[in-house]
This record gives sequence, structure tokens and C-alpha cells, in this order.
Amino acid sequence: MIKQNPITILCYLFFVIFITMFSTNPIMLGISFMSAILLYCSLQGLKKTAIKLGYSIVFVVIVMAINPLFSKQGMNVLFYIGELVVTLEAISYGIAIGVMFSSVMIWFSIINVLLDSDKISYIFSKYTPKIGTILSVSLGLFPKYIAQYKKIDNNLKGLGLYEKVNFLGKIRLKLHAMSTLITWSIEGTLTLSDSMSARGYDLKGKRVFLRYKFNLSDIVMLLLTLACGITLLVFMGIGSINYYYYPTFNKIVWDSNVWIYFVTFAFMNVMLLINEWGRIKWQFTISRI
Amino acid sequence: MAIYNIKNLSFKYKNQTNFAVCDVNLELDEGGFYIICGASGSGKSTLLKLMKNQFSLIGDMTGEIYYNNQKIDDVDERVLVSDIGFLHQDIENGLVCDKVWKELSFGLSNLGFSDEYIGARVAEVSEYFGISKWYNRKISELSGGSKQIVSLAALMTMNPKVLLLDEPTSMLDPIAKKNFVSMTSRINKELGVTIVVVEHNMENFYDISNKIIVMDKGAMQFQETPLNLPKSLQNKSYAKYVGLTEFAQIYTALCGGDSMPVGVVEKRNWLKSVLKDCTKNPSKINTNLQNDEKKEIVLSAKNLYFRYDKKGADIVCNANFELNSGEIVCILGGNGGGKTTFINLLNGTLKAYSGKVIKDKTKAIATLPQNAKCLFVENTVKSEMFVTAKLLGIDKQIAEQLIKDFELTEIENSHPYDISGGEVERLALAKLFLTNPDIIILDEPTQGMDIKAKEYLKELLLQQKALGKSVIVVTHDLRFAADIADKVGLFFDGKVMAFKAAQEFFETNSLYTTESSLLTRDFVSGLYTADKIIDYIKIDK
Repeated sequence: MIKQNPITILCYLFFVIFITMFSTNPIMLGISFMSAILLYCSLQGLKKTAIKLGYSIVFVVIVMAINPLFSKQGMNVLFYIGELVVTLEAISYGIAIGVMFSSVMIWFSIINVLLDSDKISYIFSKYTPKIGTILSVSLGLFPKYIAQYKKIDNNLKGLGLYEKVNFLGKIRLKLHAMSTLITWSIEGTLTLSDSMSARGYDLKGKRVFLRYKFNLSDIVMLLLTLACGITLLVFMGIGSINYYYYPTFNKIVWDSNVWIYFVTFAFMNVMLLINEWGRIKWQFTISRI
Repeated sequence: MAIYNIKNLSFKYKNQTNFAVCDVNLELDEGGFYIICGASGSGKSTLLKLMKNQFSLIGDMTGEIYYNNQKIDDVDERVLVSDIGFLHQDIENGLVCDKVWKELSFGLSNLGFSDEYIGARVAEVSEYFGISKWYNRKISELSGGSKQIVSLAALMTMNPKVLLLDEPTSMLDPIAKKNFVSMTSRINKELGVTIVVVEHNMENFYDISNKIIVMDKGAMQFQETPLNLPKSLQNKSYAKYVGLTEFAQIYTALCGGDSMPVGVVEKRNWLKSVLKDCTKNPSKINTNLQNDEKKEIVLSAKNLYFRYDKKGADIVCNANFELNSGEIVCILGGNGGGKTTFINLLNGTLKAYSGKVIKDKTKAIATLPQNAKCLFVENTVKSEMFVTAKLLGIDKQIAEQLIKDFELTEIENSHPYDISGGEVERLALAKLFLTNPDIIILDEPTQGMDIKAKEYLKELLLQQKALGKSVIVVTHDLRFAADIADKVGLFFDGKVMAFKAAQEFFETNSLYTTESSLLTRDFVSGLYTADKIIDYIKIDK
């Protein structure tokens, strides 16, 4: 799906999400939200994006409506509901927080799409093969257990037991199914561990087969991510892009600092999108055919 | 050159009085294909595990095992891991990882090979086995047969010299079985890997093996080529329980001459010459003859439709079915075809979204599931029965009587997980009979059963039939079905197809049929099982 190394992707998304989480500046939130939506769209298609967008709008509206209940600050009073003062600042702040959470959520869905279980276990395996293997084994166990529980439960039904007992008896049967599952899984674990050691799990010097390579484009992207990320964090530390909603909106001074900051941030947000441009173009050509 | 040399090997499990393996002397040649057969409890699996020397068997071993002229205890662990592949009987738990590609690379990465090497080996093996398209799939999504092929491929990545297979096909359907067998045959012939298979039921392995090792009660009886096995089995008490092929069984019972005919034409000609002196009409002695008394329909299904997901495909689609009292019906069909779903519709566990299941209200129905082991939860066989009886509010004495009836008294204090496949099925059946059902549904009852246990089950079902009870058996054991069924249907495309009397079913099918039927149908009808042929010739004489 995506050609970048999982470590690069994780590092990149970590910085983007971290910086988005600490932004209140409306322009930055806009950039982050737009790029998240675009990237999501390129990965998952229009239909899913429309659904995501719909949820985000609902979420933003809810936060916008709730914020004035808790925040009575702000200088531009819009109207009163009984005792409650509703200010433009409170509503704007609500929108900002709503957008921030929505974009973070979309970025997390992107993580979900880009880093499936294979890639996550790769990240672990690269440094500790043992954890990587254990992760893979346990991921294999869950579907086994779920399937087995269903089987056991169906079996009890098939024996005609459920028809013959009352509500309390039914609960007891469910517990019976659970403890059967536990006995079965303990029995199975013996075979499992036998099978693991028969294939060399206990040997020294083991590693995990790594399917992803670190190539030049990964290094470039990782360096760019780090450069952008550190620049942004430094500017955030200095406080040159701080933005306040209360008591009233502060004016953005368009000096060189702010320009550098916005451009860096915008670049960082669309970096993966640019990287994926070839694939996106291809995808859309195919869909037109 | 001998790859294995076993000298005076004995093994006794802790707290057991009998030897599991008793004074075995055996030499296995490199590149050979060996079958170890015998009833369950004959020590064959234990012997196989001792040959890998990496399993935690608790007990005392005496005697020596030499691998490549080296004592197996002195062989480097890395060599044991890569040279000797072991395939477990339990498909589910023998597989370790969540994805196919991880499973394939598991052994090699434990051995610490480089990514390039692993990648190349895994690619090569996937291509060889034709499983490249599953490479990125989750193992839990694969069928049983596919899982077993993946297990085999995962062993082959390590370039083993020997493969030890512990009842590898007992959980597979006939077609998957044949696939698996031909795969092992290829590995043996093309790559020269020594193969040792432990099986109750040799069936498909019989013709491709070089030597068959017969074990009984822990002791090795003899080893023999498949062609001469019938002769060696003459007048042996355990001969009946060695899982021969149908033809080998007939040949052993009737003649047992020096070398058995090979090839379909030779076998057919031999049978023809034996049968030509017989004069009686075979259908007169047919044991499963339909009796003429009126039968009532106890369970029927009309135009059933069922699917699991709203948008999914129909698993059961326009299925019709009828079951009479005092009748045994077998439903055959491949794994994952929806047979189990269908019987769950019949017994009411699942509800069809269209169509009707009509059941005689006065009749109780009970189902014995696949993998009956997962019904058990108590620590002993006895308490297993008593606790269920208590749950159902049934008298303790009935449970005690059932323990006797099902010959469980000897093992009543054992743990349900320590008893053999046949005993598991007996205990599960005993539990089933607590509800005193009139309609009995069995899902793959013969899986993992040896011949003795199958005989027992056969007797039991025929008894129940004589009592006027109805039985549905879902199975892919064609021989078992041919032995007991009155009617047989093939479950395909969501419905029961070709639902007809057993004789007609086996004599019209040319793939889903028994060897006996294939060999005799050209010149005589009604002889579609090995037992029928043997009985027929014996009675005639």
C-alpha cells in the first residue's frame, strides 16, 4: 500500500499528531485538518472520507455548542440564554478544539490504515525479536479463542441443553463454556509451545524476518520529518505563534518567524501526500478507466 | 544408509504401569517413506515424538536412538530443529503465528538467517507448494486443509532431511487428504526427504509407502512392504485393526497370497476372478436392506435459506431434506461447504431466514459436535457425566448406567483430555444420551478414531436404528458412510444434492465413492463396501 518503512511512517505521524495536539492557532488547525482529510481520502477513497467528514462536522458542532456552557469569558457578547452569556470567543474556541480533536482522530485513523499488525510487529521485531514473536503469536491466538468459544457455545446449544434450563441455568452454561475454553486453551498451549521449540524458538541468536528495508527515500523523509519537527517545536517553545481566544482574539503578527512556522508546518503536513503522489495519480487514472 | 537406528527402545510414562513403547528395534533408510500404524494407544505417536527428542515427555526412556550414526542426545539442537521436521496432529495449535508469511519464516528466523536468505527460501517454498496467493493472509481465515499445507511448507523452508508426521490427515476431508498425500509424495520423491507417517488409517498413504511398520501394544510387530503386508497379517489378532485400504483388507481376508495386485486394472481382474464362481444375487445378502414397514417422517426441511452476514453469500440455499424414523442418513461434502451450518439449522441452533424446519414435537434432538473434546470441563470422566446430569436435573443412576453402557468404567477416573480419540467420542456420546434423544446428529464423529473405535460406533448406531431412532451423520469418511448409511446425500452449493439410497449413491458416483464400488461395479452390483464383498464371498462358499 505505502512504500515507506513503518518506522519512518510512525515517526512522521508522531510529530504531526503531537504538534497538532498543541496547536490552537486557527490557520494551523485548518492546515492540519485539510491535509489529514486529503491524505485519508487518497488512502481510503471518497466514500469513507465523506463519512469521516460528516462525523467530524457533527463533533465540531457539539463541542461548539457545549463550550459556552463552561466558559463565560470573552468580550464580544452575542446573546443571552437566561443567565448564560454566549460570547463569540467561546464559540470560536469550541470550534478550534473540535477541529483539533477531529484532525487528531483522522490522523489516528491514518495510523490505523498505514500501520497494520504486520508493520507494528516489524517495529518491535527490529529491536527485540522476542517481543515481535510474542506479539505475532498472541495475534494468532485471539481469532483461535473467539472461534473456539463460539464452537463450544454452539455445541452446548446443539446438545439441547439451553432448552432445558431456566435463566440461571443459562448463565451457568455460559460460564461452563468459558471454563471449557480455558481448559482447551491450556491443552492447546502445550502443543503450541512444543511446536515452537520444535522449530527452534529456544535457540540463541534468533531474529525475526524483516520484510521492510530502509532505503534512501526513507532516510530523506526521516531527516525532513526530524528537521521540520524540531524547527516547529523550537518555535512553539519560543512562543512566537501562541494564539489566544480569551479575553479576545489576539492578532497574528505576520513577521518572518510566523511565515517560517506556517510554511514548515504546511510542508510537513502534506509531505506524505506528496510522497504518495505517484500512487494517487495512478489510482485515479485507473478508477476513471 | 540408515538415517535412523533405534535399538531396544522402551518408554514408560510417569505413573503408568504399562510401557508406551516396548523394546523397539528399527532401522530407517535415508529417502524412504515409512508408515507406522496400529490402534490408538499402540505407542506410535510416542515413538515418533522420541525420534525428535525435543518434546517434554515425562517418563523413563531406555535404549538408544541414533540419528545419522550419532546418539540423538548428542545431536546439536540447531541440527535437530532444521533437519527433523515434526508435524502435529492438532492443526490449530501446531501453527504458531497469525499470518502465513510469518509462519513460513518462523523456523528460519529462529535459526538466525539473514533476511535475504529467508526471503529467498520462503519464496521458493511458497511457489513449490503453490501457496503464494496466501502469503499475506491470516492463518485463521484458511481452511483446515490449507492450514495443514502451510504447516508442511513451514517445515520445508528449513531444508529438513526427515519429516515426522503425526496423523497429518485425520482432520482433513477426502480431497484435502489426497492433496496432502500427493504433496508428501512429491517431497519424498523429488527432494529425497525421508518421511515417517503415523496413521490409524493408511488409506491414501498405503500405495506410496516403501515400508509399513505395524505396532501393537507398544511393541513393534514387524515391518513389511505394502505388497506383502496382507501375507504377514494372516492369522494375527490385530489384523482387523490395522487401517488397511479397502482392497488390502479384502485381499488379506480372502487370500493373503504373496504379492498383492497393484494398479486398478490388476485389482479389478483379481476380484473378477474371485467373484466369478459366486452364483447368488448379492442384493439378497445385503445387510442394510430396506425393511418394508411404514416409516414416519420425524424431521424435514423445506426450502431453507441461511447466511451469516447480511451482505454475504447464502451458505445454505434452497435446501430440502427428509429424515424418517429408524433411518441412518449420511451427509458428505468438503470442509467449509456448510454441512455444519446445515445441521445447526436442523437442530435449531441457527434460524433460517427463509424456509421451514418441521420437527415431530414429541421427538428430542441432540447433536454431537465436531471436536467433541471441547464439551468437557471437569477433571474426571465420572464427574463430567454427573455434573451434566445435575445441570439437566437427571437422576445420577442414569449417568452411572450410561458409564457402564459406553464402556467408560475403566477410565472413569481419568482426565477427559488424557483419553484417546475413540474414548472421547464415547464419553461425548454418553453425555449426549443423558437427554435421551430420538434424533441423533453426529458431526464428523470418526475424526481421529482408530478402526476399533469406528467399529464400536458403527455397532452403536445400528443398535439405535433398530430401536427406531433416527441418525444423521455428517462425515467425510466415505468408508464409514458406506458401512452404515441407508441414505446418502452430498452437500454442495448450499443444498443436499444427490440424496438417494446408499447403494445407488455409491454406484453412480465415480469420485465420491468407495474403492470397492469402483472395482466391482462393472460386473456385479450391490458390493460397495469391503465388508460386503468379504461377507458375500464367504457366505457363497
